[in-house]
Amino acid sequence: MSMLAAAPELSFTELRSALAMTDGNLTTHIRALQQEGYVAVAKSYQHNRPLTTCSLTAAGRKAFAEYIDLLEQIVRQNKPK
Amino acid sequence: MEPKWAEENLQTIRTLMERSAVYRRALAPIMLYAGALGVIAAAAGLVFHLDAMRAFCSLWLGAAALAIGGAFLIARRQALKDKESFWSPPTRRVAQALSPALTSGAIISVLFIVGANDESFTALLAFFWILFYGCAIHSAGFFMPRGIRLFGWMIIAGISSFFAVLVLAHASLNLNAHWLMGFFFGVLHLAYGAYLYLTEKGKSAA
Repeated sequence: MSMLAAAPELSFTELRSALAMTDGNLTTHIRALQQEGYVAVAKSYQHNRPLTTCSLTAAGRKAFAEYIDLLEQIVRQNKPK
Repeated sequence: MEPKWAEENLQTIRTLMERSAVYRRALAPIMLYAGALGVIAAAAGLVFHLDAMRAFCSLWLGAAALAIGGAFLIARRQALKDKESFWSPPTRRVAQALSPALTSGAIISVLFIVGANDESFTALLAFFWILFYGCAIHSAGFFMPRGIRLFGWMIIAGISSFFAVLVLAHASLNLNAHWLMGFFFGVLHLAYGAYLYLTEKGKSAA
Protein backbone atom coordinates (compact mmCIF):
# COMPACT_ATOMS: atom_id res chain seq x y z
CA MET A 1 0.00 0.00 0.00
CA SER A 2 2.96 2.29 0.65
CA MET A 3 4.09 2.00 -2.94
CA LEU A 4 0.60 2.45 -4.33
CA ALA A 5 0.06 5.53 -2.16
CA ALA A 6 2.89 7.34 -3.96
CA ALA A 7 1.94 6.50 -7.55
CA PRO A 8 -1.31 6.78 -9.50
CA GLU A 9 -0.90 3.10 -10.41
CA LEU A 10 1.79 0.46 -10.54
CA SER A 11 2.05 -2.68 -12.62
CA PHE A 12 2.16 -6.12 -11.02
CA THR A 13 5.75 -6.61 -12.23
CA GLU A 14 6.87 -3.24 -10.82
CA LEU A 15 5.39 -4.17 -7.43
CA ARG A 16 6.93 -7.63 -7.56
CA SER A 17 10.47 -6.44 -8.30
CA ALA A 18 10.32 -3.51 -5.87
CA LEU A 19 9.06 -5.70 -3.03
CA ALA A 20 11.11 -8.78 -4.01
CA MET A 21 8.09 -11.05 -3.62
CA THR A 22 7.03 -14.13 -5.54
CA ASP A 23 4.04 -13.97 -7.87
CA GLY A 24 1.90 -16.08 -5.56
CA ASN A 25 2.80 -14.12 -2.46
CA LEU A 26 2.06 -10.77 -4.08
CA THR A 27 -1.19 -12.04 -5.60
CA THR A 28 -2.37 -13.15 -2.16
CA HIS A 29 -1.65 -9.73 -0.67
CA ILE A 30 -3.30 -7.87 -3.55
CA ARG A 31 -6.35 -10.13 -3.41
CA ALA A 32 -6.77 -9.51 0.32
CA LEU A 33 -6.54 -5.74 -0.17
CA GLN A 34 -8.91 -5.94 -3.14
CA GLN A 35 -11.47 -7.84 -1.04
CA GLU A 36 -11.31 -5.10 1.60
CA GLY A 37 -11.90 -2.51 -1.11
CA TYR A 38 -8.51 -0.82 -0.65
CA VAL A 39 -6.97 -1.72 -4.01
CA ALA A 40 -8.39 -1.74 -7.55
CA VAL A 41 -6.92 -4.06 -10.17
CA ALA A 42 -7.13 -3.36 -13.89
CA LYS A 43 -6.15 -5.74 -16.67
CA SER A 44 -5.15 -4.55 -20.11
CA TYR A 45 -2.66 -5.32 -22.88
CA GLN A 46 0.66 -3.70 -23.72
CA HIS A 47 2.69 -4.88 -26.73
CA ASN A 48 0.23 -7.77 -27.04
CA ARG A 49 1.13 -8.90 -23.53
CA PRO A 50 -1.30 -8.90 -20.60
CA LEU A 51 -0.68 -6.05 -18.17
CA THR A 52 -2.08 -5.96 -14.66
CA THR A 53 -2.02 -2.65 -12.83
CA CYS A 54 -2.99 -1.86 -9.26
CA SER A 55 -4.08 1.40 -7.70
CA LEU A 56 -5.40 2.52 -4.33
CA THR A 57 -9.11 3.21 -4.05
CA ALA A 58 -10.44 6.21 -2.11
CA ALA A 59 -11.14 3.88 0.82
CA GLY A 60 -7.60 2.56 0.55
CA ARG A 61 -6.08 6.05 0.63
CA LYS A 62 -8.22 6.94 3.66
CA ALA A 63 -7.25 3.74 5.51
CA PHE A 64 -3.56 4.26 4.67
CA ALA A 65 -3.66 7.89 5.87
CA GLU A 66 -5.33 6.79 9.12
CA TYR A 67 -2.65 4.12 9.63
CA ILE A 68 0.12 6.69 9.12
CA ASP A 69 -1.58 9.03 11.61
CA LEU A 70 -1.75 6.22 14.15
CA LEU A 71 1.94 5.38 13.76
CA GLU A 72 2.92 9.06 14.06
CA GLN A 73 0.76 9.38 17.17
CA ILE A 74 2.55 6.39 18.78
CA VAL A 75 5.97 7.84 17.93
CA ARG A 76 4.96 11.28 19.33
CA GLN A 77 3.56 9.83 22.55
CA ASN A 78 6.69 7.80 23.23
CA LYS A 79 9.25 10.46 22.40
CA PRO A 80 11.52 11.12 25.41
CA LYS A 81 10.72 14.52 27.01
CA MET B 1 2.56 -1.71 19.59
CA GLU B 2 6.20 -0.86 20.42
CA PRO B 3 7.19 2.74 19.60
CA LYS B 4 10.42 1.60 17.95
CA TRP B 5 8.41 -0.65 15.68
CA ALA B 6 6.15 2.29 14.79
CA GLU B 7 9.16 4.46 13.90
CA GLU B 8 10.74 1.69 11.83
CA ASN B 9 7.46 1.04 10.10
CA LEU B 10 7.15 4.72 9.21
CA GLN B 11 10.68 4.72 7.81
CA THR B 12 9.91 1.64 5.70
CA ILE B 13 6.74 3.29 4.41
CA ARG B 14 8.71 6.46 3.55
CA THR B 15 11.36 4.44 1.68
CA LEU B 16 8.80 2.47 -0.30
CA MET B 17 6.86 5.59 -1.22
CA GLU B 18 10.02 7.32 -2.43
CA ARG B 19 10.99 4.28 -4.45
CA SER B 20 7.61 4.08 -6.12
CA ALA B 21 7.24 7.78 -6.93
CA VAL B 22 8.92 7.65 -10.32
CA TYR B 23 8.84 10.36 -12.93
CA ARG B 24 5.74 9.66 -15.00
CA ARG B 25 5.41 12.56 -17.39
CA ALA B 26 4.94 11.52 -21.00
CA LEU B 27 8.36 11.39 -22.63
CA ALA B 28 7.26 10.98 -26.26
CA PRO B 29 6.72 14.71 -26.93
CA ILE B 30 10.06 15.58 -25.29
CA MET B 31 11.95 12.93 -27.27
CA LEU B 32 10.31 13.94 -30.56
CA TYR B 33 11.07 17.61 -29.91
CA ALA B 34 14.71 16.90 -28.98
CA GLY B 35 15.11 14.59 -31.97
CA ALA B 36 13.74 17.17 -34.40
CA LEU B 37 16.06 19.78 -32.91
CA GLY B 38 19.01 17.41 -33.27
CA VAL B 39 18.30 16.78 -36.93
CA ILE B 40 17.85 20.50 -37.65
CA ALA B 41 21.09 21.36 -35.82
CA ALA B 42 23.01 18.66 -37.72
CA ALA B 43 21.61 19.91 -41.03
CA ALA B 44 22.58 23.49 -40.12
CA GLY B 45 26.09 22.37 -39.17
CA LEU B 46 26.57 20.53 -42.44
CA VAL B 47 25.04 23.17 -44.69
CA PHE B 48 26.84 26.12 -43.12
CA HIS B 49 30.12 24.18 -42.51
CA LEU B 50 30.21 24.98 -38.79
CA ASP B 51 33.24 22.74 -38.32
CA ALA B 52 35.58 24.98 -36.35
CA MET B 53 35.61 24.06 -32.65
CA ARG B 54 34.00 27.30 -31.42
CA ALA B 55 31.30 27.27 -34.13
CA PHE B 56 30.63 23.56 -33.50
CA CYS B 57 30.28 24.10 -29.76
CA SER B 58 28.13 27.21 -30.18
CA LEU B 59 25.75 25.34 -32.47
CA TRP B 60 25.37 22.25 -30.33
CA LEU B 61 25.41 23.91 -26.91
CA GLY B 62 22.78 26.29 -28.27
CA ALA B 63 20.72 23.33 -29.48
CA ALA B 64 21.15 21.69 -26.05
CA ALA B 65 19.89 24.85 -24.32
CA LEU B 66 16.84 24.93 -26.63
CA ALA B 67 16.23 21.22 -26.01
CA ILE B 68 16.40 21.60 -22.22
CA GLY B 69 14.20 24.72 -22.31
CA GLY B 70 11.66 23.02 -24.56
CA ALA B 71 11.64 19.87 -22.41
CA PHE B 72 11.04 22.02 -19.35
CA LEU B 73 8.09 23.78 -20.99
CA ILE B 74 6.55 20.51 -22.25
CA ALA B 75 6.88 18.84 -18.83
CA ARG B 76 5.48 21.95 -17.10
CA ARG B 77 2.50 22.01 -19.44
CA GLN B 78 1.77 18.36 -18.69
CA ALA B 79 2.00 19.01 -14.96
CA LEU B 80 -0.40 21.96 -15.18
CA LYS B 81 -2.82 19.89 -17.27
CA ASP B 82 -2.78 17.14 -14.61
CA LYS B 83 -3.10 19.80 -11.89
CA GLU B 84 0.10 18.58 -10.29
CA SER B 85 3.19 20.36 -9.09
CA PHE B 86 5.93 20.53 -11.75
CA TRP B 87 8.88 20.41 -9.34
CA SER B 88 7.72 17.21 -7.66
CA PRO B 89 10.07 14.83 -5.78
CA PRO B 90 10.34 12.48 -8.80
CA THR B 91 11.23 15.43 -11.07
CA ARG B 92 13.82 16.59 -8.54
CA ARG B 93 15.37 13.11 -8.42
CA VAL B 94 15.56 12.91 -12.22
CA ALA B 95 17.23 16.34 -12.35
CA GLN B 96 19.69 15.28 -9.62
CA ALA B 97 20.49 12.06 -11.49
CA LEU B 98 21.11 13.92 -14.76
CA SER B 99 23.30 16.62 -13.22
CA PRO B 100 26.71 14.94 -12.65
CA ALA B 101 27.10 13.52 -16.14
CA LEU B 102 25.71 16.60 -17.89
CA THR B 103 27.93 18.88 -15.79
CA SER B 104 30.94 16.73 -16.75
CA GLY B 105 29.96 17.17 -20.40
CA ALA B 106 29.80 20.93 -19.94
CA ILE B 107 33.22 21.00 -18.24
CA ILE B 108 34.79 18.96 -20.99
CA SER B 109 33.34 21.38 -23.55
CA VAL B 110 35.20 24.24 -21.89
CA LEU B 111 38.42 22.19 -21.79
CA PHE B 112 38.16 21.40 -25.49
CA ILE B 113 37.39 25.00 -26.45
CA VAL B 114 40.32 26.29 -24.42
CA GLY B 115 42.84 23.50 -24.93
CA ALA B 116 41.93 21.73 -28.17
CA ASN B 117 40.59 24.55 -30.29
CA ASP B 118 40.99 22.65 -33.55
CA GLU B 119 38.47 21.31 -36.04
CA SER B 120 40.01 17.82 -35.92
CA PHE B 121 38.97 17.39 -32.27
CA THR B 122 35.24 17.95 -32.82
CA ALA B 123 34.57 14.23 -33.37
CA LEU B 124 36.34 13.40 -30.09
CA LEU B 125 34.32 16.07 -28.29
CA ALA B 126 31.12 14.64 -29.82
CA PHE B 127 32.14 11.21 -28.51
CA PHE B 128 32.44 12.54 -24.95
CA TRP B 129 29.20 14.49 -25.19
CA ILE B 130 27.26 11.45 -26.42
CA LEU B 131 28.89 9.16 -23.85
CA PHE B 132 28.13 11.51 -20.93
CA TYR B 133 24.59 11.99 -22.21
CA GLY B 134 24.06 8.21 -22.34
CA CYS B 135 25.33 7.95 -18.75
CA ALA B 136 23.01 10.80 -17.68
CA ILE B 137 19.99 9.12 -19.28
CA HIS B 138 20.87 5.79 -17.68
CA SER B 139 21.14 7.39 -14.21
CA ALA B 140 17.85 9.22 -14.61
CA GLY B 141 16.28 5.95 -15.72
CA PHE B 142 16.35 4.62 -12.16
CA PHE B 143 13.65 7.18 -11.32
CA MET B 144 11.66 6.77 -14.53
CA PRO B 145 9.66 4.02 -16.17
CA ARG B 146 11.61 1.06 -17.48
CA GLY B 147 13.00 1.51 -20.96
CA ILE B 148 14.85 4.74 -20.31
CA ARG B 149 17.80 2.90 -18.81
CA LEU B 150 17.91 0.66 -21.88
CA PHE B 151 17.89 3.76 -24.09
CA GLY B 152 20.84 5.08 -22.09
CA TRP B 153 22.71 1.81 -22.57
CA MET B 154 21.96 1.89 -26.32
CA ILE B 155 23.55 5.32 -26.59
CA ILE B 156 26.60 4.28 -24.55
CA ALA B 157 27.04 1.01 -26.46
CA GLY B 158 26.41 2.67 -29.82
CA ILE B 159 28.96 5.45 -29.47
CA SER B 160 31.54 3.20 -27.78
CA SER B 161 31.24 0.56 -30.52
CA PHE B 162 31.50 3.18 -33.23
CA PHE B 163 34.73 4.59 -31.82
CA ALA B 164 36.10 1.14 -30.99
CA VAL B 165 35.70 0.18 -34.65
CA LEU B 166 37.43 3.41 -35.74
CA VAL B 167 40.33 2.87 -33.36
CA LEU B 168 40.76 -0.81 -34.26
CA ALA B 169 40.63 -0.01 -37.95
CA HIS B 170 43.21 2.78 -37.35
CA ALA B 171 40.81 5.06 -39.15
CA SER B 172 41.12 8.81 -38.93
CA LEU B 173 39.06 10.57 -36.27
CA ASN B 174 38.84 13.53 -38.61
CA LEU B 175 35.23 12.81 -39.55
CA ASN B 176 32.38 15.28 -39.69
CA ALA B 177 30.99 15.25 -36.17
CA HIS B 178 27.67 16.78 -37.26
CA TRP B 179 26.69 13.39 -38.72
CA LEU B 180 27.49 11.73 -35.39
CA MET B 181 25.55 14.29 -33.38
CA GLY B 182 22.66 14.24 -35.86
CA PHE B 183 22.38 10.48 -35.56
CA PHE B 184 22.57 10.16 -31.77
CA PHE B 185 20.76 13.35 -30.76
CA GLY B 186 18.49 13.51 -33.79
CA VAL B 187 17.56 10.25 -35.46
CA LEU B 188 17.82 8.05 -32.36
CA HIS B 189 15.66 10.42 -30.31
CA LEU B 190 13.07 10.70 -33.08
CA ALA B 191 12.92 6.91 -33.32
CA TYR B 192 12.58 6.49 -29.54
CA GLY B 193 9.98 9.25 -29.37
CA ALA B 194 7.97 7.58 -32.14
CA TYR B 195 8.21 4.25 -30.31
CA LEU B 196 6.98 5.84 -27.06
CA TYR B 197 4.17 7.62 -28.89
CA LEU B 198 2.95 4.43 -30.56
CA THR B 199 3.08 2.18 -27.50
CA GLU B 200 0.30 3.71 -25.48
CA LYS B 201 -1.67 1.12 -23.70
CA GLY B 202 -5.43 0.72 -23.81
CA LYS B 203 -7.14 -0.10 -20.53
CA SER B 204 -10.05 -2.25 -19.55
CA ALA B 205 -11.07 -2.71 -15.95
CA ALA B 206 -10.72 -6.16 -14.46
